[in-house]
Amino acid sequence: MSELRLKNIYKSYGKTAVINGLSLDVKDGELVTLLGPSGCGKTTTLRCVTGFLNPEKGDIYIGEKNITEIPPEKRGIGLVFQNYALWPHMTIFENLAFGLRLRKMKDNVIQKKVMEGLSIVKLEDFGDRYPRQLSGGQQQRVALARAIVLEPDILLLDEPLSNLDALLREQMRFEIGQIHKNFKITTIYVTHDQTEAMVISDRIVILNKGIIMQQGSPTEVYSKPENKFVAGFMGTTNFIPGEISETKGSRLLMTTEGGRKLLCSGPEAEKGKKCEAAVRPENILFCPSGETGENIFPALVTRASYTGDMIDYEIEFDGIRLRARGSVKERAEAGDKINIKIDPDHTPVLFE
Amino acid sequence: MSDSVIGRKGAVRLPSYVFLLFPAVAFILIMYAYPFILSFVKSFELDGAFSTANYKKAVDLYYKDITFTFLVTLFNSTLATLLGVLLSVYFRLNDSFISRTLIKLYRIPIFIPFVVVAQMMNSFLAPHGILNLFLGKVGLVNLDNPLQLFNFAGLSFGFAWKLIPFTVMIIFGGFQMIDNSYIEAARSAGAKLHQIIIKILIPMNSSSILVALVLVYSQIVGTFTLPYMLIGGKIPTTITVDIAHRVNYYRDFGVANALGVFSYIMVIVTAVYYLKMNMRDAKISHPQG
Amino acid sequence: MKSKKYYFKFSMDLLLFVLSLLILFGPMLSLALWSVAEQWYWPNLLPQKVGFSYWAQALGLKMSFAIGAVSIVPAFLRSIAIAVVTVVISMSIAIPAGYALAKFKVPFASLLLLLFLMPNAFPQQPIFVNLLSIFTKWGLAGTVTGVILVHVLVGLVYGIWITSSTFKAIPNHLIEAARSVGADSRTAFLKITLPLAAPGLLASSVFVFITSLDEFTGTFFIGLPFVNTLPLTLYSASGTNMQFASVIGVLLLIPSIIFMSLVQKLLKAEYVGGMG
Repeated sequence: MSELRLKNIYKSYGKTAVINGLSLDVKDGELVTLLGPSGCGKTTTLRCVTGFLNPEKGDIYIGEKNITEIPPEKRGIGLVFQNYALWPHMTIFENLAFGLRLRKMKDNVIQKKVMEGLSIVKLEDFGDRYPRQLSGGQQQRVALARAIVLEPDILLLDEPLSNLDALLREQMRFEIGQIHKNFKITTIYVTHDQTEAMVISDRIVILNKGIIMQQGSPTEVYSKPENKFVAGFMGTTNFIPGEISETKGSRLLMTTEGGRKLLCSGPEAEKGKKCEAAVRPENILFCPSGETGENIFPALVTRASYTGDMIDYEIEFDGIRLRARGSVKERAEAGDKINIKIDPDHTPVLFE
Repeated sequence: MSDSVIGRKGAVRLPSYVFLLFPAVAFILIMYAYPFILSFVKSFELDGAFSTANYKKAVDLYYKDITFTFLVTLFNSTLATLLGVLLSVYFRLNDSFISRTLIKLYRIPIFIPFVVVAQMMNSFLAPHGILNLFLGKVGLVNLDNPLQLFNFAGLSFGFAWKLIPFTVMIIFGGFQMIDNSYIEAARSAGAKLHQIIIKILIPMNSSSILVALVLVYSQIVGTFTLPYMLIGGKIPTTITVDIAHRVNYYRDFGVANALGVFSYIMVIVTAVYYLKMNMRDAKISHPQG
Repeated sequence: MKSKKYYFKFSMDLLLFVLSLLILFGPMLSLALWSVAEQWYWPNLLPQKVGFSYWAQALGLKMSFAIGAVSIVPAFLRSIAIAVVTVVISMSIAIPAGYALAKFKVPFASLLLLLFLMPNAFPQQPIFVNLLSIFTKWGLAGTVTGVILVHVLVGLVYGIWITSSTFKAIPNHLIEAARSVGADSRTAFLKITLPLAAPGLLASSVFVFITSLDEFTGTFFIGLPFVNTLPLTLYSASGTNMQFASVIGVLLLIPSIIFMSLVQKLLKAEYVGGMG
C-alpha cells in the first residue's frame, strides 16, 4: 500500500533547474537508491518527498494519496539525516519517544515501543544517555531507530553513512540492509557512494543534473551502462573512441581511431556512426605472448602499481592510455610489451 | 524552510516572517531611522528655513573642540590598538604565572559601565586623588603641585583603562586561533622572536586588529559620559559634551545637530567598514533553504 | 646557572605585572576606598576612618543631611523596574525578529541588516537629541515611558543580533527531524528550538538588563530632570559628594561584573565591549 510515486517533478533555484521533470515509482517494500555526484538533485528530490521543499511542478503520491500539498509532519515519512539530527537536550529514550508522545500514546505503550526500537539497533542499554555521550555510529543507529519506531509508510535516508569512518560504514551498511529485509519498509536511500549503492539497493537510480540517467538493478547499471555518464560514475571505465563498421547479431564491430577492429556488444547501429567502447579494467585480460585471435591486441605497460591485493596498470594501446588490473602472481613491469584481450561480452558500445 | 511556508496552490498570504519582523522594523524606523534623518534635516534648519548658519556657528564656537575630539579619538584608538597588540602578543607567547594571572584579570574593565569608570577616574585622577598621593609618596610628584589630569591626559587614561582590555579581548582571541604549528614552523626555519611576531603573528591576525581599531575608534567618538564627567564644560572638551550643552542650556537643536553630523562624518570610514564587515558575515552564515 | 638575560626578562615581566595590577586596580581601589571613607584628610594615602555610614545613608537605613546625600533606594528600584520592563519589551521584539533573520530567506535582507546595524555603527548621542525633540512633542520627554523606549532602542539591536545568532546556531535538521516524526511547526519550535535556544536567549536578556541598568546618555537627554535612574544619581552626586557617588558606583559595578562575566562566553566580544 505504501508505494511512492513521483510524477514529473520540477524544482529550480533561480533559473537553474535542480530537478527537471523527474518521475520515479518505488514499489512497496523496495529499497531504491538515488545515486549521483553532489549537485545532481538527489537531496533536492528527497526534500521534495519529505515536504521541506515544494516542487514547482509535478505531484507526489503515497499509494493513491497525493501528498504534494501535505505538510511534512502529516506525510508519515521517516527520515534519517546525514548528521543524525538527534536532539541534544533529550536522552536517547526521549528522542525515540518524542514522535510517539505526539501521537498521544499511553506511557506503557511508548515504553514498550522505544525499547523495541532500541533493541532493533542493539542499543537497549543506552536509553538514559544523551546523544553527545554516544559515538557517531551509535548516534546514527539511534536516528534509524527513531524513524522506525513510528512505523512509517516510507523511510528516507539522506547519506546516512557519509559521516562515519570506512569500517563502521561497511558494518552499518549491512545493518541497514538487515533492517530493511526484516521490516520491508519502502525506502529511498540517497548516497554519492557507488559501492554503498551497489551493496544495499534493490534498484539504483543514477541522477545527473536533475535527470535520471539510468535505473536498474545493481548488476544492470554496472555491467550495462546506457551512457557515458553512468559508465564513468559506476567504477572505473576506459573509453575507446571509434566508429561502427559492422553489426554482427548482438555484437558490433567498431574501428578505433588507431584503425584496429574491436568487437563489442550492443544493439544494431548504422555503419560509420561515432561511438565509444566502455571497457572496465577487469575486462582487459593479459594473454600469453604469441596468442592470436579476436580482440587480442599488442600493448605497452607504462606504469605498474602494486596495491596489495592486485596490480593497477596503465597501458598504452592504440595511442591511448587504459587502466587495467592484474593478479599479483603474474606481474608485468613498466616497459613490458604484452598482449591484451578485451572481453566483448562486457564491453558495451555507447553513443553520444 | 521558507519554501514550505507558502502553499504552491494556496491563496496569496503574507509569509510569517513579515509578522515576526514587523515590530522590530517599525520600532527601529520610528526610534532610530527617523531621528537619524532628522539630525541631518534639523542641522540645516534655522527658524523653519533652510540655512547653513548652524554649521557656521558650530565651527566658529567649537572648532577647537572638534579638533580636540578628533585628536583624542585618533590618539586613543591608536594607543589602545597598539597596546592591545603588544599585550596580546605577550599573552600568546608567554605561559607563566604572570601571564596566566593577567589573562584572568584583564577583562574586568570591559564589564564596568562608562559612568562608573568616569566616577572612578574622577576620584583617582583628581589633584588630591589617590594617583597623585601615591606618586607623591614614592617621590615622583611634588604634592604642592600635583598632576592636573582633568584634560587630554586624564581622558586618555580613562579611555585606555576601559578600552585596552577590549582590544586585547578581540586581538588575543585572534591570536589564540593561530595554531602553535605556525610559530614552530617559523622557528624551525630560523626566525627570531621579533620576526615571528612581525612576519607571522601580526599578519595572520590583521583582520581582528583592524576590527579592534574600528570598534574602539567609533566608540570613542560617541562616548559622552567620560568626557562629560572628567572635563565637563572646560575648553577644550569633546563635541559630545558640547552637544549636551547646546541642548540643555540653549535648547539649540540646530547647532547640536550640526555637531552631531560632524561626529557622523568623523566615523564615516569606520562605520562603512563595520557595516560591510557585518553584512558580509551575516551573509556567509545564512542558512540554506 | 641562569644567565643575565634570564634575570633581565624576569625583572621586565615582574615590572609589567606590578604596573598592570596597579593600573588595573588603582581606580577600582579609589572607588572602593571613597565608598567607605568617613574621614580622609589630605595628603594621607588611606582614609583615617573607615565605615559604612555612607552606605547606610545611601541605602536609606540612616537619615542624612550631608550635601548630595539622598536615599538612592527609589532610584535603585526605578532602575531595576525600568530594566525589567526594557528586557520584556526588547526580548518580545527581538526574539521574533532574530528568529526570522536566522531561519527565513527574507527579501531585502541586506536592507534589513543595514537597518539593524546602523545604531551600532554611528554615535547614538545625536539620536537621543532628536528623540528629545520628538518626545517633547509626544509628551514622552521626562517620563518613565520615554526612558524605557530609549533603553529598548539601546538594548534591542544587541538583542536582535544575539538572538539571531543563537537561532542560527541551531541546525535546521534538528527542527526538520521533529517535523518528520509528526510535530507541526509550532510544536517543533516549542519543544526543540526554544529549549535549545534558551541559554542564548537568557544571555541576551541579561545583557539587555545590564545595558539598561547602566544606560546613561539616553536617560540623560530623555529622562532628566524628572526620571532619575541610578547612573544619573551617581552623576549628580559626583560633583558634590564623592563618598555618595562612590557607593552608587560600587552598586552599579557589582552586578555588571558578575552578570557579564557569567554570560560573556555566550556573546560575541564586540557586543560585550559595546556596552556602557
